[in-house]
Amino acid sequence: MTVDQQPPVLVSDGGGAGTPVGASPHRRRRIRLGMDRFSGLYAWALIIIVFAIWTPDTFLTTVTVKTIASNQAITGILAVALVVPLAAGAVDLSVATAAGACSVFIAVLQVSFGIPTVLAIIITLCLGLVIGLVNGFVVVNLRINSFIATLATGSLLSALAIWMSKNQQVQGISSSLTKVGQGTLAGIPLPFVYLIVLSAFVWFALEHMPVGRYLYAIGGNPEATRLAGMRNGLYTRIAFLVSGFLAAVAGIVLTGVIGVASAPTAPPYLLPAFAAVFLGSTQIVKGRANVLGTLVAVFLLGTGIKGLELVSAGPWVNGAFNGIALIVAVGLAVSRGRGSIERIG
Amino acid sequence: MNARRATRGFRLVATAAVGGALLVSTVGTLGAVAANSGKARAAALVKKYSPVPSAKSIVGVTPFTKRPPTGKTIAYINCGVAPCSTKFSPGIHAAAAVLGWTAKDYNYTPANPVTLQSAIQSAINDNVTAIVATAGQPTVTITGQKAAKAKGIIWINGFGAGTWKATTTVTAGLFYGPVEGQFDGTLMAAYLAQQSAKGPVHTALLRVKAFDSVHLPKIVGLKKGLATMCKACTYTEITESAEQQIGNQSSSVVVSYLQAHPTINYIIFESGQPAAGIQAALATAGLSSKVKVVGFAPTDPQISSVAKGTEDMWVYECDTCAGWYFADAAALILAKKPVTTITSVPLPTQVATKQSVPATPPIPYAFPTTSQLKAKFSAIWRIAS
Repeated sequence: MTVDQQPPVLVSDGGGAGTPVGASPHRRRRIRLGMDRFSGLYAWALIIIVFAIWTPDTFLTTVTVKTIASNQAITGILAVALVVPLAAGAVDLSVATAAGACSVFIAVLQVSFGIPTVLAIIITLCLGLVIGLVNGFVVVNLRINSFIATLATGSLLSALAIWMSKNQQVQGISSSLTKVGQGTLAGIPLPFVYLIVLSAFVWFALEHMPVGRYLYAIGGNPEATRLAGMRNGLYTRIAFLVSGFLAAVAGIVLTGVIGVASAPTAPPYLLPAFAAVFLGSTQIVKGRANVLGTLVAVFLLGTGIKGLELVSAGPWVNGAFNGIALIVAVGLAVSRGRGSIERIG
Repeated sequence: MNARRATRGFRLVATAAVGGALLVSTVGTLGAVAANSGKARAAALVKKYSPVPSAKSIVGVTPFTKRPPTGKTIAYINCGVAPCSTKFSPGIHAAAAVLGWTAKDYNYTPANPVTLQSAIQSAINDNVTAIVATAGQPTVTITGQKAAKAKGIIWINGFGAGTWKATTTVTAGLFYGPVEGQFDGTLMAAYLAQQSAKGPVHTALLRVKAFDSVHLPKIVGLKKGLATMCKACTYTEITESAEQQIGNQSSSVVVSYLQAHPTINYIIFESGQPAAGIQAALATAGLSSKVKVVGFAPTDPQISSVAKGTEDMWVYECDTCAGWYFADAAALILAKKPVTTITSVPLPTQVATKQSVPATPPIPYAFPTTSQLKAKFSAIWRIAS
């Protein structure tokens, strides 16, 4: 239990309610708005209100909601993929290039080898697991800092994607794979459905299962967990396996959404995903990367960018918004002086 | 006296009214004639360029009197992405094979100018016969051009605006300059002018200014064409960054713009690659039936979409043919013949619509076909097939 979570020491003032030590007995009762944990939700609401007033005819529509949900799905999946190794105190910089490699891989499987969609998806997910295994091996067995290790593997994966695609768009995927990315479920874009389902699994595993507690414990104090006899290496490898798997999912969905695959498409998703994770670490469960906070951040950022696009803010919007969010998020985390974000790598 | 003045005044007013009416009707008639002639021109252009290009579309080439020398090497400074690697390079390699030459690619990374200079230097060090560069404006490769000239290596620029000058060893600005690009823009304008007969045409072109060296002539031709063939058509631009386009955010940018500008009913793409995913994005936004997709330089999926009717029209041009033209230019220069005519004609081009493309388009969509190009250029180069 951290300092913030300890209950205040109360002194009875005869009125039955008790007053925190050091506080004036005549102090007004404060209404707790949860700004420390839910500031992202308030910011999101503020953004919605601002754009609802600024451009009411175009912003407050179901089209806007659907496009934000669809556009942010892949960023969200990659952000959730980042949460898992971050929980264990490691960073996976290769998630975006892994998604790109898997995106190209599944397209090549279909176009060059005629492999049916379901089998191609399974094989591509296996590729994601292999990528995770490699990352885990390099970080755990070779004891290379995860930042450097995944930067290197990311570069290799980028080269792999370029080689597989011959540096061109891979065209001609099947309509069934296209439906995986472009279909809807009761009017909801399927990529958004995948994001919610996957996030639910990861959230449950991290927050309510022993493996999640072990990962956070390792991320919080790896030396203590090692001394306690925990198998840090095993759980770190598990974390990279999960991030590799989720990166593969993102790549498959990306190919389905676009209808073609090309090597340079996925890497630009890395910054928005990190921005969401770090901003999300200041939300819900502050001080550590968490799924719910990440989701709030993903859609907060997506809503802001969408609103700025609707008012024709210009091509600088995306980068500026994500960059500012990243600075604010990391600044808030550092100023609090706690959390696994500080101990990355 | 007063009556005379009144009569005179009345006559003046009447004369002015009649004169004014005549002037207005004359201007209106002339305008209508101009509009009709503009539409007639548009219809004629679309009709002329609707058929699938054949070998007859290869024009502006000069027949040789004898076969070009064999055993030469032609180097292509390859940017590694479409259309460099997918169209120009295969065209150069196919042409070189017919000529009995060796074709070699020297790859570079567009985002890293150092690799461009390295690729050029490698080709020069290998003492090739000719270098073909499509790396943007000739000013980008000026150092390489001078080094090549010093070694007597032919230099051919695939891009270039402004005045074209040729010598026996250096050429400049063959294609994708004012002629080729503006012609494509004119065809687009002609098609849109034709569509305006069915209803208002309000267009938005997705533009990346960083790629203006390639696409600006198309925009110039489009705007000029709309001004003469469809004055009622409107034109606007959606600006996006190169990073957004590479990161496949084009669809999101387009949909947001369409939401903010609901009168737009035609979205124009400068090239086919950024249009990947646009159909899904329009469908999610409920705009598929309202907004038509048109563009330049389609990839095969766009041609397939046109055949299915889910996209409206793409201006197809035979980029592979450019590779053959580059090789032909090198052969002409070796034979000390002028290459002026090539710069003044467009590549084989088609207004690709549902009506004009095959119901099941071949993949890759390449017309004239390689065999047609081989036969045509073999005849030009006096090479027995």
